[in-house]
Amino acid sequence: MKFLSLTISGFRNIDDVSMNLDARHVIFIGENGQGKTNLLESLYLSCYGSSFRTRRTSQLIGFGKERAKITVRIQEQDAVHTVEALLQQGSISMNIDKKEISDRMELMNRFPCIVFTHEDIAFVKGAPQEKRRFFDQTMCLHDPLFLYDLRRYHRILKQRNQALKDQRLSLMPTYDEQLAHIGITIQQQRSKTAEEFNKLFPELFSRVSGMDDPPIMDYRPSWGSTATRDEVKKKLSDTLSRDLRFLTTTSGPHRDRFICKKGSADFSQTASTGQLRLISLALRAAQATYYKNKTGRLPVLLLDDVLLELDHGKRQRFIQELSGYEQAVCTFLPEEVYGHEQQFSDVLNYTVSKGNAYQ
Amino acid sequence: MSLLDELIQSLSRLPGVGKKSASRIAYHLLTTDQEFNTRLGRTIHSIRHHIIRCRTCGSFTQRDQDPCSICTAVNRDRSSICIVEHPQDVITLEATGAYQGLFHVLDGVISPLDGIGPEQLNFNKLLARIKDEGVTEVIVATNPTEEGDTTALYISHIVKELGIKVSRLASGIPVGGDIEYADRITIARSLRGRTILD
Ligand SMILES: [Zn+2]
Repeated sequence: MKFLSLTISGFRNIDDVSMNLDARHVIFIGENGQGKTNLLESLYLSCYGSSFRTRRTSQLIGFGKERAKITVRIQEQDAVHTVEALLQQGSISMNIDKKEISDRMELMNRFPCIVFTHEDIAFVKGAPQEKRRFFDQTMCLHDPLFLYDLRRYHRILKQRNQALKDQRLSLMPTYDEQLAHIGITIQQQRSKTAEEFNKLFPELFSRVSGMDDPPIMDYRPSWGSTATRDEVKKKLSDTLSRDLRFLTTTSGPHRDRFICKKGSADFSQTASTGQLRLISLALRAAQATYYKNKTGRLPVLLLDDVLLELDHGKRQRFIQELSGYEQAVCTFLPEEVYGHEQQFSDVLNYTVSKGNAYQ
Repeated sequence: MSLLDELIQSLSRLPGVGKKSASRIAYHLLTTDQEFNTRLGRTIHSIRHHIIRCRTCGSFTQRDQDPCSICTAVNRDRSSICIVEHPQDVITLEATGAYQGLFHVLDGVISPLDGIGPEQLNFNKLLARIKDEGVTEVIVATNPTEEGDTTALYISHIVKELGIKVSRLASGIPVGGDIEYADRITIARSLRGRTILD
């Protein structure tokens, strides 16, 4: 897929901007706080109906404005679509070709776009849920049923936790069976994805970093890697007294862990900040490649300032790894932009200043 | 608040009626003939007096026919009972003409988050009916939501103990539903739950 044009009104610091994006590479150049990331965010929001920076819609609407509107034209598999996002009163409504989208799940793998940000470091060294989020995203990108299962799992988990609080013990066998059923499906999918991902990611990381013994992303399911549905049901009923003590379900995919492992050690504990950043970049690059391999489709890449900390050689090798995209939109600071013309062909440059973009 | 505002407020509380349609209806009632309004008002006023819940199955029935016409019909299959969430589900299933057994309305689904457990639903009556009426097959027709699944599974747990066959209505692509991009999840689900034809 590829963005052809973008029109924004009242979004963050962008009052009114309309721009052509019809190129393989689009570069937004500007100082911090001028609106480059806001432009990337608006593109991401057009694809998924949510931001990668905040869950609070009110923060996305410009100061003193009642609503914000983003319109993009997207080329996807020989067809051109118009996607509109309207943000008002704390909610976001999405239209594709004038047809309203009632559930964000419908957007999930329609317009594949992958964002690279500094916050991605949490996928390597962050809370367990951040690491799960990365792999869950990787799967949701090409498999809408995975998100469906995940949502169902969390709904049933919430019901079971409430039932624990209310001492509704007669319901436990039912919830255990439901959790075991969906939970095992989720676990199997995560396990398969982690396995496939580890055929891709370590080598990719090696090529960019020059490190001979790269880390892998080790999946450690809460129920153990060989558990069957019946074993899980038994485990849940065996640990009921513990669950009743904590008033919450203490095992399951919501407690699964991913560990960035080198040899037998947790690499995130010893890696330098530079290494952690490079791993997180490589994870995203591998995510894009994984998507391409699974679907045969090419995503849009949104790179938010992430090339900044790479030295010339790493930057070049990293960009080579990113070949599987139809369009890349990158932000740069004015002083670091020098030299990107040699790295990219088919480029549109925009200078971003005070919420405006100039070619 | 003016009487007109109050009417718009009340109408907009109805399911599927937004603020905009509520005021359209209100203005329509202001200009339509008075006789229509009087009749409508009288009907709304008395509806809950005349239409009641069947004491046996819980579906809607006339006040002078309780138990309802399905519960008292002589030609229906009394060995099979279909469990639904709401009284209007009985009407939907009856309209298909494909089912000849009895019904039982639970009046909701199991959902601890909403304070609803088996005790809050029409369960005791269900078990009594299964035993009294010699039922041999239970069909669960709860909606394909998480709570609908929980309820169906819970029913199967307790009914199977009585040695009775339990089945669930298949969910998939609705007949005549438009198979568009928006329904990818439904299609993906029905592909996963596909059955072998022989
Ligand atoms: Zn009845």
